[in-house]
Amino acid sequence: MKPVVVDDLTKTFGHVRAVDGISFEVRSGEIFGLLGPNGAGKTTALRVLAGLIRPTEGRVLVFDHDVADRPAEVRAQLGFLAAETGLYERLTPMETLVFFGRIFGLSERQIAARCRELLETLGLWDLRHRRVGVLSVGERQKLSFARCMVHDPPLLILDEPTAGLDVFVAEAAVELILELSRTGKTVLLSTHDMHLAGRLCGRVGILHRGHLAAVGEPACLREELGADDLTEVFFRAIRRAGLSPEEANLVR
Amino acid sequence: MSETLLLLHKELLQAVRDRRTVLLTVLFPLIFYPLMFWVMGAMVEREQMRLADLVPYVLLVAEELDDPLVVGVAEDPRLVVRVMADAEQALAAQRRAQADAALVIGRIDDAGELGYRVQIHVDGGDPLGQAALARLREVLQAQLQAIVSDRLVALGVDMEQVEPPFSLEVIDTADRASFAQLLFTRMLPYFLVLSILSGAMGFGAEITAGEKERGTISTLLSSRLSHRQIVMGKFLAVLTVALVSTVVSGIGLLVGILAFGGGIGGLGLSTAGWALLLLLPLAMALSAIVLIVGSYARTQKEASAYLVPLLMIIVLLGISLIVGVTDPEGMQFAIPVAGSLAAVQRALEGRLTLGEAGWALGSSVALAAVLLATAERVFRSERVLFRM
Repeated sequence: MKPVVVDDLTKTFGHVRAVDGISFEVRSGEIFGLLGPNGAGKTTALRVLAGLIRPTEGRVLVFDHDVADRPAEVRAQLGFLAAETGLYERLTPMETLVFFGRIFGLSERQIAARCRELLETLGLWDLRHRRVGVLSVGERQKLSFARCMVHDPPLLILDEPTAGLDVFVAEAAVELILELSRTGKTVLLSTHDMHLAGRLCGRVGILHRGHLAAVGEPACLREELGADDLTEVFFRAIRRAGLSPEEANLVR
Repeated sequence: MSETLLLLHKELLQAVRDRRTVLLTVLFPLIFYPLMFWVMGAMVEREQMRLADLVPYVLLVAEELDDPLVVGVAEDPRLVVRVMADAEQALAAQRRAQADAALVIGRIDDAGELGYRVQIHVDGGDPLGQAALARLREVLQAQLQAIVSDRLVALGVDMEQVEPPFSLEVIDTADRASFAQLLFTRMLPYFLVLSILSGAMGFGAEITAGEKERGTISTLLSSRLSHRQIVMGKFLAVLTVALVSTVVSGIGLLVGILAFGGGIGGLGLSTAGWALLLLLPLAMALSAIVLIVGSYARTQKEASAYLVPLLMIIVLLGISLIVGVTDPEGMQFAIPVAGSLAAVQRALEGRLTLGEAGWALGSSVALAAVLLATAERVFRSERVLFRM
């Protein structure tokens, strides 16, 4: 049972094709990165995967559940971290986790145990009764991770998990994602940071203007496209796919 | 349902921790309304005292300056009189508010010595003019009575054996209590409806458009909550805050009316129950409107801007109710908001019929149901929810 199977997914908003016929799979336990610049369609694709919006065409399966037909079952299997921290400023970290734990149907005992485990692991235990509004950016980001992991989902979908973070907080987020992967979680993330993708991802998908230009392991793609790094891979892949040649020619 | 209640609990927890919501919903009505009525009471009392002590400035025009009535009026200490020869000039000055009243005393031809034609010119819309009119009536009455008595004595009548031929006394029954009653029946419904909207607006915009603005909407949508549960949870939260705002405003207003010096003797449990029953579906409808607008708007600021016209409509309806323009009958009670406002007014006056209540309640409940269904439909729209 594959965590994610995306088959010819298209998502349109009016006349705009935000995602145009993309297909890829995410394997169990891997970190898969969707790479692309702003406006490539990464967030739209992740929103469809998380069941927030419905696909226009194509099919998305999460642990064999079709996101269009069984969104509730899909959401129970995943934790979604939006590009914003997505936290309620007037709740405390403890209240945040308790609220989402209850929403996901955990028992009070499970919630108590899970809150302690997550908050202690992330170094937020002493801050558990402070309002989220007074936490630092790094503390909020950690809490966001805790929030999307409270129901212990096997799949995590992270939309630009390090965007807007300073170098220390970003590094902590990277460590956390690697730790999640080591514990067996499957991670699907989006980023426009090629360096970050190179460090984190076992496989990547190059997304540009709604099209998937290439999918594979970074090393294989470098070799296949004769590129030195992922940035070069990105430009060569979109040129090969015939997408936006004027932008692709920036790198020869 | 339990998930809906979880969301409701979360929203209300945030509401009680939001200073602005607490200030606008609880503290403001409890402090502002009593203070407003106290100030109004003090102002009305001061105005009444000023008018009671008023010595009107009167322009007097008469053909015969030595006529006993003219002399009597001109010398009456309750008036400040300036005698003018030109009637046109006097009336023009009165119209320009250079005098509180103009008095023209003439003679009726062939009517004998007691044939007077008296004209009083005042601005009836001005409290000063009304006070001057009352004072002039008093003075004229007294002077005419004195003249009649003198004539009768001259004709040999013993005035000690005769009762005055007539007696006229003007008693102004307007006092603070009656004014307070007017506030109670006319202004209370308006303020209550206004408090529903003021309670729902800010909070509703925050938990809908604010969710989009802060990006927390994705968090909520990625949980196991269905769209319907989210809409219902938010709707119940907005409704709760709106009703708290209404009840607290009602308490503040009643305290204010008591502080003003009025009575609320007509307000029994039954009347209060009817008022709340009539306001409940209206609060539901207004909460649903706030939810629709808040879901559509990108930001809280945008939501507030869209809600201002709705507030203006209610203000206009309220004003028409207060000045007595709106007095619906039968099916007219089914007109949204206006019908409910009028029905609450009738309930407070103790003259609401079951038919009128039925029209007002039925239409509000139907409207609330349609609006709530629309709110859910709007919330399901990806284009609206992720509108950037």
